[in-house]
Amino acid sequence: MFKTYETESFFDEMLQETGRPRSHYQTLYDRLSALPEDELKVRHEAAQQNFLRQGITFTVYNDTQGTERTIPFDFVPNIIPKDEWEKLEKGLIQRVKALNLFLDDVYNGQQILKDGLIPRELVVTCNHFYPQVTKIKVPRRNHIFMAGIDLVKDDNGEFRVLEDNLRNPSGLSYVFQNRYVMRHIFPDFFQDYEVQSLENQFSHIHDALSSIAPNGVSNPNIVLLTPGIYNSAYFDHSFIAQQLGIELVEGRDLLVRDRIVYMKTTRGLKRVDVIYRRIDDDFLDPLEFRPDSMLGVSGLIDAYRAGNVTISNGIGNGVADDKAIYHYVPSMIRYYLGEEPIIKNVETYFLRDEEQRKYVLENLDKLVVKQTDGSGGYNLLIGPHASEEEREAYRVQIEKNPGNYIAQPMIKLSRLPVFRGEKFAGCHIDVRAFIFNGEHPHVFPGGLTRVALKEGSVVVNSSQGGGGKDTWVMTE
Amino acid sequence: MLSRVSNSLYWMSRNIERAENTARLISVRLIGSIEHKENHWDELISIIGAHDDFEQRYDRYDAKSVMDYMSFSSHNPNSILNCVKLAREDARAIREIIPQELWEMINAFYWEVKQYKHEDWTVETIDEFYQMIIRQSALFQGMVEATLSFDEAYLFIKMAKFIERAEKTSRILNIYYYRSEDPEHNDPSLYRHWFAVLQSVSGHEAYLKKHHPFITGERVIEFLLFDEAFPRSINYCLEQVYSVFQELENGKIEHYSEDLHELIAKMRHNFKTMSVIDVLTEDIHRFLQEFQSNCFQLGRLINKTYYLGEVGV
Repeated sequence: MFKTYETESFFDEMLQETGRPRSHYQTLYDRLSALPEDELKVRHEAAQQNFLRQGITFTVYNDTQGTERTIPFDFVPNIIPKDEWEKLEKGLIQRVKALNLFLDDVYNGQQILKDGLIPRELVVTCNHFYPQVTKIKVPRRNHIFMAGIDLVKDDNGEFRVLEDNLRNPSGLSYVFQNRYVMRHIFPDFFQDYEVQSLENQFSHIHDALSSIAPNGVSNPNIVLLTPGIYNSAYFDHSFIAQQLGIELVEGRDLLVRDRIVYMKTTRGLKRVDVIYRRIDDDFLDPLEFRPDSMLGVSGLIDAYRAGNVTISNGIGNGVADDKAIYHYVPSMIRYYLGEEPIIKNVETYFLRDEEQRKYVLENLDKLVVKQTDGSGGYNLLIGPHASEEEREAYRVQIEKNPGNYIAQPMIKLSRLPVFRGEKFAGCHIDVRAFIFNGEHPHVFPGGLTRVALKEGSVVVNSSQGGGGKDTWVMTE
Repeated sequence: MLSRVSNSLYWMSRNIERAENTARLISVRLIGSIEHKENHWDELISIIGAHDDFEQRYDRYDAKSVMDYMSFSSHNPNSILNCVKLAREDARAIREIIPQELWEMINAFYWEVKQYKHEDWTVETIDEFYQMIIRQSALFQGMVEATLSFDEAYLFIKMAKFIERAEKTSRILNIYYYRSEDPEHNDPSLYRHWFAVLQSVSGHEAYLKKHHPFITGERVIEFLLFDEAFPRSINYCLEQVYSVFQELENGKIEHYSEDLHELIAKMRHNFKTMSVIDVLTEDIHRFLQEFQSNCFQLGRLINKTYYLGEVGV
């Protein structure tokens, strides 16, 4: 089945240019080659059904029918050798440390801005910068309980950071479900592999949440705040709450009295100490942010300000994962930690800079252009794949508001085989790594491998039809 | 436990029970209609108390319209499809509370009902659908018993189930008692009538074991109101509600639960002190209507006592 498989000019995770598998894929390659195609089809189908039965579905927005669909799953895992992973871990921890120091600095002394390392204007005009939360004492000065950092491999096979997600990164539950389905339907694939297990991870996560409780609280009441069942990441919220053994609450379950947050139980009110929130900043508290928010809790920020409750991830984290700030993360690492960045960025052009803008506008057909505060793969311009009209329309937008955009060279993302019924085809992947930050930062082994299933596409977001794969970190 | 969670448990349970009761009612009527012309499909609409809404949407009370309205209509908040959909939404909102197996069961149930080709059904094929509803509800009950810890969550599910059951049994009796007063009934048709009433609550077999095939209105009423062992008699349901209350409150009566306790005590008292003769000589309709209004009150007091959401009937 691999006879017709082409790696083309891309870095392929499984196969070398010679067509032979890389050594860590050899066993799986042999196994796949030996299996009859019909059986692969049956098992592939069984895997998709399994997701539907378990109700692991994604609600499609802008669809009045309330359509639910599962995220397509592909059974060829992303296997990461031990040494490669260990280096990555160090790089991720380094990055999150620096980003956290940056957030603490920006909402306190703003030393990095005074030292001129990052243009002040870039920070204070950012949509996700919230002056309302400056000078609030955050337990352990920890703004990032959970980070989701998107990684890609370039055509040399080197990992690079594509994006930092420091607000409400989702997808952790899918990592577990991918593994669950993989073990049930493709148990034989694990033979002769020693893969890091995921089962014990939740104790790390729980520890991290407990460690950021307000001062003096030893056995904190921790809750996960969700917008509710109509949110597209609701499954993620419910799964994490269940695995942590904490309450999943909605805004209407909470109330604030005398600057203390309580949840409404059948036996009256119960005090809440730590809120792992999965509601965006703007919706958290109608008294401070959007007055029309139905999802939030009135007075929440005031309780936070009083130090009676921890809200994590911190409010205003978006200022550090803004696509324009991304460019400065390597400088932050040098500035705060005095270290060289272990994982590289992707080269980024600023459209507010006249010279760079000129270059970008002349080379739109070679670049990817993104909105600085966009996410979810919406409103991207993928120059090489876009039509002349699309590029023109984008050019008009850029010229109107150049500060809103950045551009990056089109990276030839690495690929992995995906089963397409009769044969395997190479599809681009990225990996979202999850980092938990408590007393000690901890990197979740593996993370979520997302795959662009549309032929030739480089957009892996699930809202754009991307799929998932199991991710294996080898233990030896 | 969060009040919202209890509320979801409560409504998940009531809606599954409601879907089953509706399926049972229709199924019995459907089988009855095969042999006999006197169909009175409007009675089913009376039982659910939805004449106005029904008449706005359909021009006659025939089998097809009534079954369509009660089973699949998105306008009818109590149609089987809506009940299962609501139960699934509640289950989804608390899936971190209930066992995974139970969630998967309800999720699969929902997809089975939703994907049923309800545009194509015929009177010949539809009964299979109602049997499926009844089986799935039994599966739900079984899984609750087998996989849930017997804690507060379990108690709210149980309470809701028995309130829903008691209320439905009383509505069935009330409407069908009117029919039995119809002068056009002869003996065989009355026998059939009361037999069908028993079947509607799946009580014919339990009744026959107790009374042998001697079916009279008085005995059926006595059985469905007062029997101490049959799981759908009102008396039995009420005793279950009482025992759940005792467990939730550890046998104590606190200030906040006083009103709820008083109402349950009053409802039990009616059933402990009255006989079927009393009920029939007084006015059975008034008796049943009072019971239904007590049930409504019961829902409101549970809401108030445990801070649930919008619990009504």
